[in-house]
Amino acid sequence: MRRLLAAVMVATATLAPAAAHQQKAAITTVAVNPRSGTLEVAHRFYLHDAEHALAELTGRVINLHAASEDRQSFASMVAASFALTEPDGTPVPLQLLGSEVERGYLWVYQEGPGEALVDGLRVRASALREVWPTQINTVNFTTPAGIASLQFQGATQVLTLNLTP
Amino acid sequence: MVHGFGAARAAVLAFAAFGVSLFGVATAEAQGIRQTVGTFEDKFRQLDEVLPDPNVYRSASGEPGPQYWQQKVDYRIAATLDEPARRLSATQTMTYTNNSPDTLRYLWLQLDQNIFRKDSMAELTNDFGGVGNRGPVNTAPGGGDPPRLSFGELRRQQAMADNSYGYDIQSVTSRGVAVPYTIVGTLMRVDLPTPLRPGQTFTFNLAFAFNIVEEDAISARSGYEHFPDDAREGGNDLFLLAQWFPRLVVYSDYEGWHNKEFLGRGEFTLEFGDYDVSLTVPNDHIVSATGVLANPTEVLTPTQRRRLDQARTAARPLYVVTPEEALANESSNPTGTKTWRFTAQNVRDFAWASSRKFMWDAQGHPQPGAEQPLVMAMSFWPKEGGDLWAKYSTAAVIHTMRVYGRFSFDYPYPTAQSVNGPVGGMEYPMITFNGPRTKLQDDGSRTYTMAEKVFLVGVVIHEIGHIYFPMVVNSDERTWTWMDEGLNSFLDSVAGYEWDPEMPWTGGLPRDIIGYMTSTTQQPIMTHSDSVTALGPNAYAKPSAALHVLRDVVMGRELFDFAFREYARRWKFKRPTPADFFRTMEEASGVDLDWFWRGWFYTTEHVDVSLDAIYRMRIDTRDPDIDYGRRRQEEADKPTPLGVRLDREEGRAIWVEQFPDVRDFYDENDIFTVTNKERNAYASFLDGLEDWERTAFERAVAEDKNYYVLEFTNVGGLVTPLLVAMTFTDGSTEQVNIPAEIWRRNPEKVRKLFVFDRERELASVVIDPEWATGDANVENNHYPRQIIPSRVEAFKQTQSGFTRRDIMADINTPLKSPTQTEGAPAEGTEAAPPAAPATTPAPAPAPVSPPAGATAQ
Repeated sequence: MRRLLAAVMVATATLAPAAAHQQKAAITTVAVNPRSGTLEVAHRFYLHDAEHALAELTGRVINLHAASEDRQSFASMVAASFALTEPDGTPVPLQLLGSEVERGYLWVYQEGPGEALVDGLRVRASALREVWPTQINTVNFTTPAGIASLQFQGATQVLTLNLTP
Repeated sequence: MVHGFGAARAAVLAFAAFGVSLFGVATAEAQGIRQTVGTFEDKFRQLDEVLPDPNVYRSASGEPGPQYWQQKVDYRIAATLDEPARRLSATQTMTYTNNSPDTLRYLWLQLDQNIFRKDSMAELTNDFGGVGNRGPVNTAPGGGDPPRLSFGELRRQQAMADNSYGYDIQSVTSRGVAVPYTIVGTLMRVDLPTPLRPGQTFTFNLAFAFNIVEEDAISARSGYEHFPDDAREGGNDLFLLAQWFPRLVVYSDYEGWHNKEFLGRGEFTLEFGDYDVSLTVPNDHIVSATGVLANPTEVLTPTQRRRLDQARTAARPLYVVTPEEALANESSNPTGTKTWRFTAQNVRDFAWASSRKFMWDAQGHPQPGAEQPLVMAMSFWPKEGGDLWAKYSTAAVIHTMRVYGRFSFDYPYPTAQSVNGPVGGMEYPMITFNGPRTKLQDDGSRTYTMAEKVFLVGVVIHEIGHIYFPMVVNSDERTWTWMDEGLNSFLDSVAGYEWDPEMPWTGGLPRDIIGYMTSTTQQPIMTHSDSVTALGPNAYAKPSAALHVLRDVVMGRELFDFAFREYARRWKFKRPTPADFFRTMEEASGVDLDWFWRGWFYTTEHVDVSLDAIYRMRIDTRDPDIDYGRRRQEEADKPTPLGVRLDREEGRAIWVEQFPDVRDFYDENDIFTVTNKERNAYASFLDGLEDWERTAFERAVAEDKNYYVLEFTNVGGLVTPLLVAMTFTDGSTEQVNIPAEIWRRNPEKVRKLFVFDRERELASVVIDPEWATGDANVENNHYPRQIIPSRVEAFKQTQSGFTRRDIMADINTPLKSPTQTEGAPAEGTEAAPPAAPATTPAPAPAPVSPPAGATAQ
């Protein structure tokens, strides 16, 4: 029965965006906090998406409102799927701060060194994209010159941040 | 030069020909109007050149024109479901009425099932690991990773290899004579024996069959779902049939034949017509379909008919097939077939569902005075839907009709149905497919999460809402997704908040779309459905947010609601385009909205206004005996020069203190001393004023008001009303809403003067205090500036606060006895039951079971 349910969940999750609700679109903002000088990363997911994705990956029933361990697993999964690499190949250390639920959204927070936000940064943001083909992850980098966005969709895996006009 | 002029004209003509679908690129520059020197941009430029020219079919007011026409297609279908073979065979008779002014020599039909053929364009052009594919995910090589094929893709490939999908067209005839036809992918051209002139009808027959796809394997919008673990030997199937019969392609006044290959993303638009459909299925199946059941005595038991009748006037949903009956039914085997006959008038499609697993509830929704005084709201679901469906599905159907009826028109059909199956959410006339389910726990109970509950209520509202837009207000989703999804997302968010504002809804409000609107990957809403990358934010959430801004900020509810209802009334059972919507909203409200459509629908700017500075001013009296005293005080209020203060602190003796006996006139009279010279000048100033000037001046001096100039810059670029909330030093508050037109001459920077009585002093100002405009940056909305913690900061600050409490999980914590709390677990102590189990729903109060003794066969 469990296997069947997992399959059903995959199906409904795959099809939901066809006509129903605007899902499968996560937004991440990356900005340097002028007060602390740290690089703050905030990922926003639809809670319902997150539950179905984790259910498929684990084969278990998931309730992210109630199950804090599951929410930690999801946050860890998001953290593992998001990577920043400096132009010289050095990975930017990002610390997972935690997650919280706001209305129907699940937020996951990370923090790193403020100096890391540089031109030529290589970015990977693949959360949920192994689960759903239609998942689109948009990453907004807030820079002094404005916002620079990278969109992860289709076969895109790694993008390079270009801050030079 | 001449050549260039010709090209420009050609571009304009192309716009007229293709309608507004190209308007994503239609900037003022594309219209031939350019600011060739200087940087001014007219964000309030009327859309005259952008919108298609009005004509006799579509008026400049946004109404159907005096010669508006649309085709009509009536269908009579007899279909048989071969359950073991999962195959559908049917014959259909179509009557095509040509209401157009054109003579037609051929007709086009849509063969949507052909998308599942191995050689379909959708299949052949499937970009491996590409963007926006429906179905299982694959990963193309890149970033150092090898390409990967998912299990889902393997299952899909195997299903495609093992089965033959697509239509088997067996015959096309008219009056017994074969009619020539040509199949082009998902389209079929039927050549008419004689030209079909305006006003004439053509009747022809078609016989076809196809193998039904497995929804979970193929990822369609319909198909069968297999339940291998049901008690019945071999399990059970649940069938959802949509886009299942060959349907006439739309022929319209603005595009001619809409004969575009079906690639999977764009949904559809069709012609209205009357349907008479007979569905032959195993005799233990329950069928839900577009329309009204025309032969209840042949397919329903007397008990079921009596329950249906009772449900017409029930205050809560009543079971027509109870959970117990459905459970018994799904364990049995059919003994033959039954033919369910449904009729439907003035619908643009027909869909149905069939299974022996269905339970069924119903409740009448009265609409006094409407063309349909009673609508039957009904739900069909297998046991997997559980209490989630029993409690909320039919209730949400009725709630939708209540809210949408207020915003548009009374529900125009006799039934409104919600069916649970393998499709996440999809809409058809009078019937919708909705996916949310409960989860089976190890103890045999079924539970669901809060998010699943939100999904169920939200998706039922959304899909039933689609029966209004676009099933009745028939916009073309294959071209403009936003026209039904955006309007419907707006209305479903209104209905959601009217259901329960405390439920964690997502997506519909201005505050929800900021991340997308500030991104540099945003596309204009006016982008063709097939070209949009992020369809959810682009075609659902952003237009919904825009309409919330329009209703609650720009127009006000009274004007918006009147205009929106007028749009729905004008285009009910007709075919609107974006221009018809834009024009109607403006015409009916009297509010110039061209700037709003231009900014929100045609550009990728976002809202971000900064309140940069506030200047305070006071009227000079010109009377030197008053003004000079004020100047003296202003000077005195300035801080002492730093060096002077430090000198004083060092105890340094200054000259005038050392020689106090040396004094003169200026020791007694400072630079602000008034002499008769200034008094005479004041007298002559007053003398020189005209009478009206003197009156105004004297009054201003007497009132001595506070003058404040607020300075705003438009950081995001999208012009927007300024909602200015002011707090005064006495604690009182006042909000002034300034229309967006303040930006018309300078869309980058504006100033606004406010005048208050002497005793009202401004303490602080915040713009858009309720986050109603979608302003992307809250920090620059405050004056004086406030430190607005970032999300990450706020999260870190509240780590130990109340918002981190996970009450739903914590409420299940067993209460420990005093001994336990001291650390020694007490033997045999029972944990107290939780106050309210967070995830286990209480038994459903509704639907209500019928009186005892009433059982179905």
